[in-house]
Amino acid sequence: MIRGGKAAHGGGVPPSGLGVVSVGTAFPRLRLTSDELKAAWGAAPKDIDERCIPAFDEDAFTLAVEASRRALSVRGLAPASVVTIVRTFGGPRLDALRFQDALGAAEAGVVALEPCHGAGVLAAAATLAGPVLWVASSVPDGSPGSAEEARQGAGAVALVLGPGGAPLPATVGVAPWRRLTGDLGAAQPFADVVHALREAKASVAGLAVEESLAGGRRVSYVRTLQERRVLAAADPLPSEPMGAFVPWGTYEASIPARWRLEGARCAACGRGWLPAPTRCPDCGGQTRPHAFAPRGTVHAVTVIGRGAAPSEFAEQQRAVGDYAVAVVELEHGARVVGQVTDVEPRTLKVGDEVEPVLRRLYEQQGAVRYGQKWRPRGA
Amino acid sequence: MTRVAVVGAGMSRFGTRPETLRALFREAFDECLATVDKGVAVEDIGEAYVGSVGFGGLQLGNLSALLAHEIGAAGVPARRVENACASSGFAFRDAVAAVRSGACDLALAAGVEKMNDVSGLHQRYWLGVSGETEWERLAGLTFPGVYALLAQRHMIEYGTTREDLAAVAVKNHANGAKNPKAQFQREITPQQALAAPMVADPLGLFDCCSTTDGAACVLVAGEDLARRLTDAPVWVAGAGAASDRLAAHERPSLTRLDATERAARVAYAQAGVGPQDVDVAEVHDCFTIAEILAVEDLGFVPKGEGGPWTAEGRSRIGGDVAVNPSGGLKAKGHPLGATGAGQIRELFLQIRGEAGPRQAADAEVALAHNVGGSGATCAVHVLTKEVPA
Repeated sequence: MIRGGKAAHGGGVPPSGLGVVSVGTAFPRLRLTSDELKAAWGAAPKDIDERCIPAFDEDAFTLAVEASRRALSVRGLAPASVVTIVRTFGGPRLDALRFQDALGAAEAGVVALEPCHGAGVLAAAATLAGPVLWVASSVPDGSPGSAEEARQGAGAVALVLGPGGAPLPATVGVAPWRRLTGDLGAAQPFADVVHALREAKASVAGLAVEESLAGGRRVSYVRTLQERRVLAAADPLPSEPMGAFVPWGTYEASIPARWRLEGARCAACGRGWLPAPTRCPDCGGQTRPHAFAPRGTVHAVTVIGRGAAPSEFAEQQRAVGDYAVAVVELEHGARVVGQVTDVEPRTLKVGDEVEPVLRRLYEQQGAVRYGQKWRPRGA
Repeated sequence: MTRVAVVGAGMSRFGTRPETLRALFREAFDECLATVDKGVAVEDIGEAYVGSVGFGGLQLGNLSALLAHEIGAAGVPARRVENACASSGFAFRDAVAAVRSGACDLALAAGVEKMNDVSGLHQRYWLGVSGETEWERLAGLTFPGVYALLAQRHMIEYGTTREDLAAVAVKNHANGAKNPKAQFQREITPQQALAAPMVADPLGLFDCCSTTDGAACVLVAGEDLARRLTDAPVWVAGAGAASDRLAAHERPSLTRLDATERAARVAYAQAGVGPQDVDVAEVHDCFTIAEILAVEDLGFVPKGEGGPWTAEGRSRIGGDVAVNPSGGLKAKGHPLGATGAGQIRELFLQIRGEAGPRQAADAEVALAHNVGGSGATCAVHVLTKEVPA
């Protein structure tokens, strides 16, 4: 791993004037302080004050998607125009096609997903038409009490490279906000590049890291183990249980609606529907595909307590407690139902504004099922 | 069209029962047969309709044949009817239709469910099978959560309070205390109801019905046969039913069940009565808010006033309408597929004046209201003491 003092990208001048045009970062909301860690294990690193801890429904995939969405939207870039290069350590390996699915970039391509050297990325990028998305994401994998656990934090950094962008700095130092995030592993060199671009006052969109770091919530050490699934559930889901169960194929068919809010609008009455019906259930009219704007309003909300969670979410509830579910009103009268995350469930009110975020739902048949959840806008 | 009457009705004791599914069914059928005043032979049953969700997955296919065999009726055309918690309300509807049409003279409408012999994790699976699976369930909702959302909207739109909800639970537990077949035969106080742990805000433990084992059987006969079998037939004067969008959030309103309104409209019209004529009703109170929605959607009280109306005691035995004198799903118990037939059995007793300490005075017009899911299916029946026109 490349560290402070050397360039994350391997140094050198990018070919063809390729440079960074925008940046996106994503950090989990939960934080573990060094004081908490010290109380548990008697010691903590001196150069790190807090670590970002992935919530129960976050992993390297969801963080990479979130950082990438930010890097694209801050420049108004259409996902379909972007070629993706993903690099990740820690957590599950990122599935290339799934990542493209999540971004809605399925018509573009994925060049590489393996850990790859910066110079190689730039060389590859230079041969491609259109911008290149380069993202790294990492979540802690250190076992309780280990030196790794004491240093690791979770986060993702996405860089969009394109012609006319700011050149990658030749040398970089460690980003000072590592004190607040923990060591980001694979994403740390990327974070350091972002820091160097800030220092150089480069004209790059999305450098305001403070925004994605704001609003952190400190939690106890034990809570971090629950959120990280280190304290495992007593009885995991049967692989293919009897009773109601959504088979993989059915789930997969719902991915455009679940991950990208792709539904439909009735051509006759204008009502929006998510997921898309075959005909408008209200008036029977023909429907047209419609991608819903990523915002909504809470129409009704409840907090699911013990005994009221479906088996798919029993593990989540046992690990991290009651969760909120809301009927969310989207544009054009469409209503969806989903969990609201990154919030104290009982503080949600009818009328609250929320935005979609891709998170883990549950795991079955050997695969994580991701889906859209909601969180308070600007959280 | 032949007039149709209920000539016999029985149920097993509801609760946590160690007996097998077959034994519970036998218990209900034996009592049903015994209530036919002048006796009837099992061989005279022309059609059998068995409501069941199939909870636990024990016998999902051909359940009706298994149970027909159990009661010595092997040979009768039988089928399982599945409409979630409204399964045996619809089994009853189908039995009535079979007799009305002249296809047979005597039909069995039954229901059965055994819920307490599977693990907690599997119960969670099965409790969610009747909601909308792909979206509602994968948002983390089972029925307590869905009804909690309905309750919250009702509170916002009409000012209904948690105390109003508790009043439903207190009333139904008081009624259940008088029912020797109920799962919970004890009274509760409003304080107990309000202090119970939250299941899905604003619904606490006492706002929710339980998981129950049980069975219920009803025999319906055409007019001529009915008069030969008993001097006190209970007439099926109206039979209405409806369906609605499965997912509650896709409906225009979260504070009414359109399926209830539609089903009730048909049932009242057939019977030539209105909500003001109903003396006693068994309504689908799977959650306390569900009873408040029901008394409004059935027209007993204007929309929005169900909470205060209940809290004022207007739906107690002796009030304007005795609602859920059996204890309802709340206290009598809710063995999903058996609930609808169990409601008919209670009203059979009420109309005949055989309900003992929970008897509603002068019960001449009775209404049964059985809901599947959060209102996706609904069957409403009007039963009368007088022969319908």
